Amino acid sequence: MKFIVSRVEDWDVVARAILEPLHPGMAIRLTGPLGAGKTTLVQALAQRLGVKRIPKSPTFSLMRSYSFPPTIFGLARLIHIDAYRLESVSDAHVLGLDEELAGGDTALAVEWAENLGHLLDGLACIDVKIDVDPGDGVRRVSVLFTA
Amino acid sequence: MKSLRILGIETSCDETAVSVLLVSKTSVTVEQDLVSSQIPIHQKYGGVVPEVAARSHVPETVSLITQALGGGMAFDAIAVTSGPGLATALRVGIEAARVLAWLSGKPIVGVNHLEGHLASAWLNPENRKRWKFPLLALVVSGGHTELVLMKDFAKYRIIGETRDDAAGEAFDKTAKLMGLPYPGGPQIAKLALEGNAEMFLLPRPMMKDPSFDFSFSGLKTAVRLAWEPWMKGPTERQEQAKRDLAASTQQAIIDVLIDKTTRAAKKFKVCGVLLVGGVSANEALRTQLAHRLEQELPVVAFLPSDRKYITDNAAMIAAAGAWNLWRGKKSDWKKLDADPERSL
Repeated sequence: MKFIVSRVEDWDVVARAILEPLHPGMAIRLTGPLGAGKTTLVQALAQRLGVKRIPKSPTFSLMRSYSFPPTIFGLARLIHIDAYRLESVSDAHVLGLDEELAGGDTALAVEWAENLGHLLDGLACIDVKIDVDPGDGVRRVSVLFTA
Repeated sequence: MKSLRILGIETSCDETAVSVLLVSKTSVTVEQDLVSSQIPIHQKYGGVVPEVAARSHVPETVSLITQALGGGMAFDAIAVTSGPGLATALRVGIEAARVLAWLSGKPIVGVNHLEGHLASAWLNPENRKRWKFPLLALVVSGGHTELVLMKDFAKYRIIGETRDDAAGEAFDKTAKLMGLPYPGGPQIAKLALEGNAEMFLLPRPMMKDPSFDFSFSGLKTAVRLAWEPWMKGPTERQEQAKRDLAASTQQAIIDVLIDKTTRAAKKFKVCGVLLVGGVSANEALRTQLAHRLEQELPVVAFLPSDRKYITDNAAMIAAAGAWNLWRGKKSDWKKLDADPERSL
């Protein structure tokens, strides 16, 4: 699926498309340059899921977790991860993702997922790629589901 | 009032720190203040690397505690950072503190890292003389941008905070867009000294918004768009443009911070304004905030932390521990655990 985002409100349309199939144990992989809107999209996701807090950048804290009333699929928690600073897969183990997913009610939204190596292997993923038009700043967003 | 000797332990992010403070309501003696910075490792990676951080916290914590206590148990209480922060890093300090609490039978208190930053301003004796509630604190660092109203010791309310990126992160990320090394804040401040802050017109996000919240995320796109044409230009013009853009970016961040802080200080009729956290090292922010307060609120005391306590340290954690103990707030060593999402 492809989307054009030219206003902040447009992210909600992308969020809806991502959330429709989102089950516990899935990972949303977000890619795009600095300032593309990855965190803004996570804010739109959280708002639609009924999270009371507004997600903030997890760059320094590495991960932040958000709870909400369960969806029809039993999803009740979204963990926002920024793997930008992780240099190797062995560093990524510190996030304790197995433990975080074990409860069966959690999905991940991951920035810089390539730094997590094979840690997301075996998870159904939703790939979100954001391109920024250098001229007018319009975002072109593609959403792809991989089982 | 009896003095308390408090052992402070901080391992929430990239510094391992241990301190011993002798504290009463009127005096503070910093007996030990040990920090083992991991900055060189992180410079290599361009940021905080958690497992590297957590791994080296273990030997560092043991070594610093031994050094601070000299093998004895000469303390009355233990204060340890329990959040917010990285769970794996926090647990290193917490486990050490729990063992010491169990062995010594002394009280333990899990301190909020943010509260530690507030207490960093109180470590300065000049600030303590002018310390009168209510106070307003601007907490600015790589991971935090908050305006905190302090009604008393250990009695706080967050009245404004960033909705996306922290101010320190805005410095680091815009620096990265300009091709500057990590950490970006000091780099921008240095270049800004020789730059013209009026060369680039950058947005002041949410400055006119009536709330006390901040938003620095949009600045990245603005800086990228401003920098792009210069990036392709001739090198000698590029260098001056970089200095001007650094100055303009710094001023955009500072303007919003100062405006909201001054507005909040007026609204809540505070007696003093604290400036704490890593970004408070920024000289332009310090002098401009001091100046603005002097102009508009001459009776309000400006209470910045000493430079030696603005980055993560354990002296501020021990001080915040004292505040909590005065109010009767203690933790149970059997139950104390990391609280990565802890808020004030």
